[in-house]
Amino acid sequence: MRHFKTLTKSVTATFLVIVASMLFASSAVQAASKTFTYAMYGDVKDWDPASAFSLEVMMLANVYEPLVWYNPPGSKEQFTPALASSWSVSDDGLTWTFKLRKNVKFHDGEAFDAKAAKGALDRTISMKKGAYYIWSSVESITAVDSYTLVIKTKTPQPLDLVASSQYGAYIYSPKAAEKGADWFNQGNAAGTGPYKVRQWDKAQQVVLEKNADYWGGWTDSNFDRVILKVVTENSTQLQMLKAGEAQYISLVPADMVESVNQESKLSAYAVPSWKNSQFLINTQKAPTDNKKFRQALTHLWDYDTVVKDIYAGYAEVARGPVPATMWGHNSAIKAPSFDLNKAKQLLIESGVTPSEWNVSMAYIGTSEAYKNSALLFQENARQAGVTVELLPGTWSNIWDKAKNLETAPNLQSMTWWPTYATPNDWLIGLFRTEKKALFNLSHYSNPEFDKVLNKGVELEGSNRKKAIQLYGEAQQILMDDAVAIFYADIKRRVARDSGIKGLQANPAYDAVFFHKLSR
Amino acid sequence: MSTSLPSVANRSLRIEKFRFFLSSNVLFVFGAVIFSLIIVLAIFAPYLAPYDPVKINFSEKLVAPGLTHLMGTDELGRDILSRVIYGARTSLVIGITVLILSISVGVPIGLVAGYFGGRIDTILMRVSDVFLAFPPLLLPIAITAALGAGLFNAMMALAISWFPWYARIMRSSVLAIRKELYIDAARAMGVGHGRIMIRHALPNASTPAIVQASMDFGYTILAAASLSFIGIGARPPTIEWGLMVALSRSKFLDFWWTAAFPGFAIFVTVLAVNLLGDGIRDLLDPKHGDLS
Amino acid sequence: MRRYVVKRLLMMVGILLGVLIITFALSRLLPGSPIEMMLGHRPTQEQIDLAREEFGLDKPIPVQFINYVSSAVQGDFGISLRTHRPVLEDLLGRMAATFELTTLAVILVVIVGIPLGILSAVRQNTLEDHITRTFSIAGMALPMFLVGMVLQMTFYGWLHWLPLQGRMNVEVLLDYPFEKYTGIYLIDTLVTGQWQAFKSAASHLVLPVLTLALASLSVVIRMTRNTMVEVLNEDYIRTARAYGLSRRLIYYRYALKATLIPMMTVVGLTYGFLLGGSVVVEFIFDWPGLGGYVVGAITQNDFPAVMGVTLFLATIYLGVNLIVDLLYFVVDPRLRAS
Repeated sequence: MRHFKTLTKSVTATFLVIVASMLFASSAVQAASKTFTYAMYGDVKDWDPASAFSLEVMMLANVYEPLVWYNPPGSKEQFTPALASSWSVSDDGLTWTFKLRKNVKFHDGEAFDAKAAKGALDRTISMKKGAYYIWSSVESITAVDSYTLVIKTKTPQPLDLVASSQYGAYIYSPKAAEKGADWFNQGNAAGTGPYKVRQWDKAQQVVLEKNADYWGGWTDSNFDRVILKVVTENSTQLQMLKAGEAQYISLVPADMVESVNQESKLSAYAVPSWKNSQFLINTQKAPTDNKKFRQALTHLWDYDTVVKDIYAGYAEVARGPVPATMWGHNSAIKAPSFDLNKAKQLLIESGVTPSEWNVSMAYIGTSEAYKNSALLFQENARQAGVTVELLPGTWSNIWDKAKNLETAPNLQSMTWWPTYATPNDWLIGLFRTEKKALFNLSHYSNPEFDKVLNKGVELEGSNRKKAIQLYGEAQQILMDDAVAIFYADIKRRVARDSGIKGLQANPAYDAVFFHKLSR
Repeated sequence: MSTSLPSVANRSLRIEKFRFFLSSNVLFVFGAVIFSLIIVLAIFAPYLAPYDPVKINFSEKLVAPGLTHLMGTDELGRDILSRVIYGARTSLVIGITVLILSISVGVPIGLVAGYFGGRIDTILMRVSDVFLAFPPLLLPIAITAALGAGLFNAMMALAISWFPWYARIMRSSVLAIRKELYIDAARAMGVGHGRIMIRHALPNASTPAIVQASMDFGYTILAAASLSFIGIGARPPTIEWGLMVALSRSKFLDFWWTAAFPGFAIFVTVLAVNLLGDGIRDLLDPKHGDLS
Repeated sequence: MRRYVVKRLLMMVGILLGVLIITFALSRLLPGSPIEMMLGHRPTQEQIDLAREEFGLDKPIPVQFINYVSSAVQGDFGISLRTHRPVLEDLLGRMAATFELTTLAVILVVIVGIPLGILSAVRQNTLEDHITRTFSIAGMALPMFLVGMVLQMTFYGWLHWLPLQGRMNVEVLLDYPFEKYTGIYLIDTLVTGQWQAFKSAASHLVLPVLTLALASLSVVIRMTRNTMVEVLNEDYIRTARAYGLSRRLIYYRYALKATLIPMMTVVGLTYGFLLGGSVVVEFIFDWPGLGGYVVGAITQNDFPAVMGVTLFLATIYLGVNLIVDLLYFVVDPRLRAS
């Protein structure tokens, strides 16, 4: 009997513990309505605004400010003044003058002036980390007086675009600059933005709180506190949104959109972005070194089904290497047709023996979209007699292999977006000749293409119209050479609490501007 | 006068003995039956599965279990029942492969270590200690990551992490029988070490290893499923139950069948295999038994 | 006794060296170049080369290994490629979270499992025995990730009784701050007197601890039962019974003591098992502990972190085993004599 008692005792004890904690939990603290929670898929790694180049922008764009902000395409004005209240460029395009905003202070109390701006930019450029290269044509930065900054460049550059970049263009306090990267990486920040960093619990969350002295002012409807919570799994993010524990998530799986929209308090929708996806075709590895073979592959892709079903309508069929929403996009370009017969014909015309119709296809294994698109392609290719070997993996693995011709696959997944608002980002980054391949994973080298592109880049700052024409030509060359299967202009899917107002879709920035939000 | 029973009585006695065995080992029988079912499913998968397990069919995606799809469909429109059936193949292959690999490396090592003793023994056992110093699952995770994600590599990793265990078991049982008379006798007759190890030591000392293997089969399947779940084991288009559960994670709440059925399959299979293993252990090593 | 401890410690060092070799080989085998990954999505070739040099990747392998070992011995496990911070710092920061989780799970398992196992053994072949054994056999067949998912969905998704993930509600963390003396939230919040925070921490612990505990409960019940059964069949117990000693006396004075040693083994093994199992649980519940660190490090090829965390966990595991062995000496006078 004694032992029965022991048994009952231990089992009862366990139950009591569980029940008690459930009671505790049900008296959970109600979320303050002045707090906005954003579920982030990763932690902020690099806190230094000069070198950060990843999802840190979520935090950076609210804590720091650049000289100018780029407005969403279709706005009346192309830019909104931020730390620069006005600017102008000389006739030869080599000298930019920025008039700076007065009476602005950094979070650590330092005053914002031309010297501070110069100090921040100088440091960013000299550190050579992150996106510093956007300033690579800068010859000198001078603080002419307390509120005038003059930047001289070696060749004409669209510095207004560069200065609006979401990476590498933030202005930070000179005192912070002195303390350096180590100070930043402990979770410290000193910008001019509407929010200050209150604390950082590593791998858990970043907490921002309002900067009462912000030059842009505060109203009662603003959020006083923003929590950037680290939630790595999609399913968990979704749960939090549904329970009201988070108000915004930015990585919604396509097929979850409907179920989110069925909840009355939530809405999921797409915002335009400048992200696009393609499978780069290796132009130097058999059998894809054969142009007709490559063209055949572009006709084996089911463009409509991928966009409609796999991306659940949250992408548009790509029309060339540059997204249709980006200025400079060549609107004459159309996507290849999904045509099995045409593909078979091209395959035969290519002259490659059928036994060699084998291609390898590498993609990021954790992406549902890539995986499903690849599976579909594999099946369609099979019907044309082409065997596709699927090689999913992590980005670092496959990138490493793809850079080296010996280990590179025939097809390489690539999702690209620009560092600042320019079409040449794709053309240079993905397709200009590279001695040692970095991102030009098609291993494409066409001197004619390079020439046209470089001319366009030269003229982008001073003669934008001519540059657009040249960029258009460059895009057509890429289509003719079938360097990739361009398949999706991606719209970002976000899901949020429908009561939140003020969300503005701007493809130039991967961040949400919390200061503009209200409930 | 013969002491043997007439043949008719003999047969009914045997039937009685069998019945007795069955009734006193219900669980074992249960496990054996289920396991045989699973083997049948695995072997005859192409005939038993109602649909093509890899065919993508967007128009039928995420259909609830019903008459057309007994276990529903997943996010690509693939029939889950068919995938579960094919998954049986994968799991059985995993169990068999990992165990065969572990045993074929571990047993010889243990045999040599236990037989020769001395320095060879110490060295071999220190090496296996290093492998056993890793908390379970950690080494397989690290090895799989190093080799690259994939079912084959995951199996290699599991085997590499496991063989030291078999080496140990083999070694201790060889140590036990080494002092036996027949070993000494063989040596005295001039029989070579190798022959003694293979013909005498191995058969007599392998029971614990066999017992261990039968109990490990289930754990192997679980470990492989866990690796797939984290994302470093089986990858699409391999059909593996753990992978199926992982893929269903973001949809599980609204579409419970995408995770429930593969999860249940894992449970039932491992359960059956464990029961079977227990029974084998009881048969071969009654001292340890649950003495039912 | 001291000689034994010294001998064991020396052995531990030797084994750790072996562990180091294996993890070093593994981490260098990790395909892909984590360097590029660390630099953001658009590094220049120059940045890559600089980073390689900074991390010593341009030196030959044996040199790298020696450098690593000599720094590791001094406590420098290198810099994590993901967090840009010393690996050891990352690990120490996360240790408390995993410790809290696994210790609570072990306690739960011991409180529930051992009595159940004993009961089962004492009442062999009765209904309680069969129920317990069935439960434990079934429990061993359940994959931990499935249990975690189901618990999450049931208690959060469906019933909304318990939180989904993390260690504590962020609002509570901010509004009811407490000093993190130990890193174990349950203790820290109590010591600082923050009742709300304590409640939040406790409710966040329930599901992960349950998941971990359920996984090893079955094993512990089984092992306890088997050991107890063996002990009960020993001659000296039978003799005691024959002499007419009361059952209570027998069970508590003799049988229980005899099972103490194997039980310590079980607890030690459980701890080790849970350390490994915490990888899955921390993954599911976004628990900021060592297990989550492992998955992140491996999937992103953060080789200093992979080596550091493997070494760290192996050391803990060996340490636990050593402690258990030493406890044998304390508990069993027979061993002391030798």
